[in-house]
Amino acid sequence: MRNARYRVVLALAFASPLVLAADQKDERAGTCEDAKKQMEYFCAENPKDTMVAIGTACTNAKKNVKAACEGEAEPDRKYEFKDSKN
Amino acid sequence: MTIQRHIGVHMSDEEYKMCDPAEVAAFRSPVPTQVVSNGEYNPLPQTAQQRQVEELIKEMGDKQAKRYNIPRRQFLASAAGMATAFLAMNKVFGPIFDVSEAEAANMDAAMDRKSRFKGQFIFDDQTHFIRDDFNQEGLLGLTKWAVNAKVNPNIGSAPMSLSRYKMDNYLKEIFLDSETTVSLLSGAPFDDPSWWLISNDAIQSACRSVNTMSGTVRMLGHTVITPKYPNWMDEVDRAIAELHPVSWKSYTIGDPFGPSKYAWSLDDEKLMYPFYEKAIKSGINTICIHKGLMPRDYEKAFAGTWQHATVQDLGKAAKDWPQMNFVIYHSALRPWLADQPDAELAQFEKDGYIEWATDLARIPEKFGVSNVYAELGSTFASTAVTMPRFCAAFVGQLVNLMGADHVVWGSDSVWYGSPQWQIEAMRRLEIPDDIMKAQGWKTKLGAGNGDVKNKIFGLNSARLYKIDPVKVAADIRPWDNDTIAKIKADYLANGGDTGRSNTYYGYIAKKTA
Repeated sequence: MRNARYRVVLALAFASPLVLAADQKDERAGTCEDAKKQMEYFCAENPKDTMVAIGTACTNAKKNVKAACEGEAEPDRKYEFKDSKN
Repeated sequence: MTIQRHIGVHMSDEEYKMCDPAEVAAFRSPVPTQVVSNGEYNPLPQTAQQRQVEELIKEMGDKQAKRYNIPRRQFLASAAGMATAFLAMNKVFGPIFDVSEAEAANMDAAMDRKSRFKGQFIFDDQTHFIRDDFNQEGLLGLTKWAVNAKVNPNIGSAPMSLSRYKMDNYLKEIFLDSETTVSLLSGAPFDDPSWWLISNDAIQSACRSVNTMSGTVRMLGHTVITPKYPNWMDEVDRAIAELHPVSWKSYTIGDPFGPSKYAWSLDDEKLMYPFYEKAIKSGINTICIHKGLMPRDYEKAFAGTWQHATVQDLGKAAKDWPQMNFVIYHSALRPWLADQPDAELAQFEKDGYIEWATDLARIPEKFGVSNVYAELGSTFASTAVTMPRFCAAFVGQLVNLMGADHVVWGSDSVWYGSPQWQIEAMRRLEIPDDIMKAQGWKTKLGAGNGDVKNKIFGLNSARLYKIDPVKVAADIRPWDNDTIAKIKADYLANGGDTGRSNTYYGYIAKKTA
């Protein structure tokens, strides 16, 4: 019974963004200020400079803002492929 | 023709609107007459000098094609056509490439020169192809871009395929259309897993297939490691036990295309030192690290993470782990596409500094280490096209500060089509005398098959990857008679050489009136 409860808690933890306490913001990709700069650069509608990304970079930046400013971080992923032969 | 947006593409919609697909828009020159982007960064518009080169190639190609009574495109696909392109570049940029008028004017002379390089051992230290089930997100991005760019009015009805970046085309471009002897297949991680290029298992599986088919060792493979990912060391252990890669590949920046939460440092003792210990014990003691390749405004774009793209973490790690070999991909050159090549060259001419590449070049002396190598993938290709003099300075500095035995060849194929034009450019590249004098350098690059270039092209990697030097130096090498060699001979006998596509995959900036 106790094990089952743990499994439920773990499943919930991996199914939704991890909400951290205010003093536990995830700043691995930069501080809140850094992440905002990243987002401004990569998600700008009318970029003037080189290397303005869509997709991965803008997505990264948005997630970094959430993690660093709002304490809302996605769980870390393993580097693994569903079909390891591909 | 369908136009594809390939893996790793992350230019913005606005940037894509300013680009045409290289495979349909670029003049089919033997060497690109403007920068071809792999999608990581916005390609430079064709400069006035590059336009001049293009016009010269057309003019000279027309003249020679008429003499031989063949189409210009066919002439430009020949060895003499390749020589014509370098001759045109010399006329515009100054005498950087070793090429004669006779080669461009005479197909026999061009073929004579080409035959001199027969048997040169060329090890391409950085190559890629994508997994068959590469995710749909990139494909959707392609559609969006192609529609916006109006390059294919039938985009909605035509099937789309990423086949040009897949294994069969990789084999053609690298082993049939170029003189590459052995390739090293790599992969890459991204924060968004839908961008992951290919699995570590698939890399090894491809190597086994190719080598079994060929009967020789033609392809070697990496295992990508992802420090800071949970359980990353489990994959290290699995690779050692099951996959047996020849070396490791990783990205201290975490994700090459965007600011990542998985950035890390080579000299992080707690994170990396247990790995080095395992790597050495396993005998897989070479690690290839992506460094450099940042946008001009990197302090904003990669705020809080860009430091991981520099080599500030390399010296201590290399000193602490002398049994490890650290191969620094892209030679840590900061600008992927020299967006201000004139300014970068001017800075070099002023103080001898090339952003981040010079930092790499100074590490051996500064830290007293000999286990650090510079690799040339993408950075050679982009600088050779934009500013040959800068390219000569960049390669010259690596050779003179690190030693010719610490620079390794890489083309970052198959993003740019066949790497043959890059091979030709390196064979012909020389450091101008005034740079040699100003920098006080002693070592010139020399002949295309001379000591320095033979080391760069393959002998250094042969040493790193324990390829039998007797086989490499033999008059008749294993690769000269293997199955791939036989297929290539048949391919060439059926016009494969003159049929070289001169196609570059990726994007070029739209031409302005």
